[in-house]
Amino acid sequence: MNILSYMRDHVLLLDGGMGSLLQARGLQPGEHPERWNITHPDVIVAVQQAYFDAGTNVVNTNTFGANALKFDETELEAIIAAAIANARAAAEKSRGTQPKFVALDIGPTGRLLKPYGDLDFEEAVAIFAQVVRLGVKYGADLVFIETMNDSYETKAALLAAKENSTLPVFVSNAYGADGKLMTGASPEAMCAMLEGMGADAIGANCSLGPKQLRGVVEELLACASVPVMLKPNAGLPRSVDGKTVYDVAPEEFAAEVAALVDKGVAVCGGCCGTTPDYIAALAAKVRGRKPLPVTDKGRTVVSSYTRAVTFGADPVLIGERINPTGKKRFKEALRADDMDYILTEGLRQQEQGVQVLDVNVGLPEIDEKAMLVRACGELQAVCDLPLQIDTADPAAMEAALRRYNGKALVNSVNGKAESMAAIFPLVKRYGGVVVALTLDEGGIPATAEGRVAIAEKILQTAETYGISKKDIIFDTLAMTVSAEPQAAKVTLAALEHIERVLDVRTSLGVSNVSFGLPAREAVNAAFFAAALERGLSAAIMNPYSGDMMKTYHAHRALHGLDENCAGYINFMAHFQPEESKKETVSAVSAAPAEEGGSALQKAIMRGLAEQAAQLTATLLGDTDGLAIVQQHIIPALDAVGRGFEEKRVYLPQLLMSAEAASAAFEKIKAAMTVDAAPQRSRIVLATVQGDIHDIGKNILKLLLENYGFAVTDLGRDVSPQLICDTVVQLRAPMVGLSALMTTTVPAMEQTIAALREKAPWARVMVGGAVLTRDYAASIGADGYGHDAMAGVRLAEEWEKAL
Amino acid sequence: MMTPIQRWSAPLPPVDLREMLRYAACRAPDEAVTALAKESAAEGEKVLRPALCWREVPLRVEEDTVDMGFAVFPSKKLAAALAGCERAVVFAATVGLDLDRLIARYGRLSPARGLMMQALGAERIEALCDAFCAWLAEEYAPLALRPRFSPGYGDLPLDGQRALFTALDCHKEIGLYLNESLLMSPTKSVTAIVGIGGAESDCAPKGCTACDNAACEMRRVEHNEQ
Repeated sequence: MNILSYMRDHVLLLDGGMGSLLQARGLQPGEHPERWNITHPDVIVAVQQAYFDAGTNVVNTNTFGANALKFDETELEAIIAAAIANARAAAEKSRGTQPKFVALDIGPTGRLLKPYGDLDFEEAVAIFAQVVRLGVKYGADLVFIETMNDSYETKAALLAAKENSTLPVFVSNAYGADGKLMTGASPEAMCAMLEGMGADAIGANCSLGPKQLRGVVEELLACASVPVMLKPNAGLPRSVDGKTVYDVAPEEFAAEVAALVDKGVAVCGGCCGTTPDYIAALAAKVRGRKPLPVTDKGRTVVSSYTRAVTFGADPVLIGERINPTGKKRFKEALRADDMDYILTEGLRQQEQGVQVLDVNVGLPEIDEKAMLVRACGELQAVCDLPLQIDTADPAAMEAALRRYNGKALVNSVNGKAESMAAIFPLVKRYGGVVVALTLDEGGIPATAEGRVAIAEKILQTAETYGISKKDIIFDTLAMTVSAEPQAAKVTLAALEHIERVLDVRTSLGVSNVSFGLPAREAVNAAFFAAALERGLSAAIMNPYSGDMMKTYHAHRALHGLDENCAGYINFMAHFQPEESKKETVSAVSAAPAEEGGSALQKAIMRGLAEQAAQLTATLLGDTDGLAIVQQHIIPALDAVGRGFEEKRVYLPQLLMSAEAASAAFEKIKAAMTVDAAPQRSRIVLATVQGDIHDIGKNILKLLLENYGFAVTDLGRDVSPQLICDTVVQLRAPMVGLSALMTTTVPAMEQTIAALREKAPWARVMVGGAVLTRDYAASIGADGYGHDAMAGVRLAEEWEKAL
Repeated sequence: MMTPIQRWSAPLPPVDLREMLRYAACRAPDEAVTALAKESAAEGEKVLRPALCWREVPLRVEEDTVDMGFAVFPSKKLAAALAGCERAVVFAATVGLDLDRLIARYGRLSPARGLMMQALGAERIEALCDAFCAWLAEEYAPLALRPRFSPGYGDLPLDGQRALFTALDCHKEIGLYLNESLLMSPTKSVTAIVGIGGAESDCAPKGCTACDNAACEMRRVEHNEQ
């Protein structure tokens, strides 16, 4: 009997706890329970038989922690083979007459994935893939991924299951008392990602009792279009007379779980603290019952590692600024590998209120695939907005989608056969909502009917890949109205038809419409309002455009999407028109220079970044950028630096001044051509392998940049190899390494040794909490910086000797 | 006999700005720094997800080792700190990964704010541990509790973390992970051992006075010690 067809008519009953039952039978603390499959098969079979006898349909193999991190290849295979054989034996021995299945149980690795842990995503996929292949080899009926408390690790496990088997895959997460995973994901976000990748059932297990998981289950039921599972603990454990007891008894447990079956849970069982008695009590309540039908919720939804964004009546703003097209400064940042600039673009747009970030880092002269993967990864480390991955290169798209943590927006596919053949398989494999442009081999149709016809063709083709219309968003292409008077009308008519008749969501990049006209913002905003009125679900737009943002907020207020108009009022309260910003600048610059330095110097010394930027912008009107640096910025920085060295100024003040100086530099950079920017010697900075503490390194970077050094920042947890390669490639005369922990200083020592061999010319300075001058000398460093200012002074001194 | 792993939570006291600024290496904050600290605390507090798990373990304290049932820790200082105790509480606490994300975000965008977020994390995780220890003290009264002791203190090797992480099932209970270099993620986290019972006079020195690094910029000044 196929488990998925059985589930259509029957509530599927899972098993209960294993660990605590094994402990009661002599499993010692610290002992691997998975080994008992081989050493105590009789015990395992007896426990699993008791579950089948109690009415369980699906027993999980005793393989929760069976993976290559704990066992070598030979033992791992023996464990999984024995575990599946044990569960099969239990099924055969059981007197139960219900259909019985054996699930390959996969628990978390116990390691956190990068960027906050040290397990690489692909390494995690490989670990799970090995287990899945063994499960298939020894005949498991399904794969059961459970107790995952991180969305990225869950994705790695599900991807491994899908890529290495055709078995049904159930995925269950461990949610905390606040209804989220430990690393932050909401049930809705998990649902988006897991359904997108093709999980056959999703749910919650472990961590809490059935009552505390009720909210999580209800949220899953509201958004899931696949069966929902619940496998809670028997409440919370406590110690009574030296014995562990759980606070929810079998009858109460069964009643609470059964109440959620009434609400729609289709698959249920127990986790920690539950026993065959609990499952028997639950079976008595749900056996033979037909689950509520699972309906397709039809939700068009993308997600990040914490949150979901749904496309529907409430329009979604997609920030367009991470894109080099027509932006000199952005191109320069891409060429210089200046990731901070890209991150800043993302975070500032988030502050402006966008819900999704478009990421386009394509430039002819850079490796787009590598840059796109890196940009998405770095953005996801610090920003929890879902991303729209924007590239014309399918290989870059695949690489970025694979590593994306969540369900991404894919930009884009179109009606050309080649485009659909390249993009749809990626959407099917990794999940995603794809933006589809209504154009094909014949170009962009001049009529709305033509564009709708392409949309229909795209929908039909998507269907053949198993991609339903909820995972497609159409862009009916805004064309330039100054070139073709009917352009906007055609776009809007196609959009309205797709939204209202085909019932598929739409998105537009609106700004094209106004090309060639004066005061473009006015046209864009009017067009945006018209599109919203016709049902537009999303816009790719510039969130710094006041007119667009006003239109957006006004639309929401007018359509009952903004309770008490609070969003509109709040936006307007903080909205500052461009003209008034200029007034602030002139007010500041008009202030007479007081004694002890210019107004800009004072702003820097006081750490007032915004003021420093505005004053610099004003000064640039009649002063050369270099002169501003020499006459204003450097003297101010020196004064603060001396104060820090003399312990009159503390670290936060030093940093605030440095940031104000950076803000001034940024204005100057924007005004100067790349070649004109003078640079001092290059220094390569890195936090060494194994270490993720990088604040000290970031501080040094900021100060070195302020002092005009060319800094290449390799980030944290950087291998000696990469550091050497970079230093050699750039022929950098200086290197700065940081390490926080005694356990990572050996990596620093190795890096220095490698540098001596490959880049003997480079001088190496080191710093970090556990280092001292003597220690630095003992590992072969040329210099030691006890703080960031000392690092700057060292670099200045070394530069003189070059 | 080890008790089961339990989770503990309680509201934390308000952020102690002075303490936070001490972690930011700032003894004399001016107005701008104070404003930044306040702003950062308000922003950072919103993303905190404090979590703590603990269990009680039996102890066998020898002269230079401590046997906790799940592992034997080689450390004279720990043995001295637990002398006379037959039981201990081991615990792990964290303020959650979202603060690390905020620290990373500002580490890239605004190191001054990044520094404040770090300082907030340090202040909050200490506050969480202190609140838990105060609760424990009530739970175990009239027995006295020893000051908490963590791997890396004195001669207690940092690799003791591995055994503690296994005993407390940290990743499953509170989402706390140990990497190969023995770094914890989330970074603003603590694991510790608290001896139960025995004579108060056996207590090891506490906090900064227990540390030999007298030149430390973050060392608490005397009057702060009480």
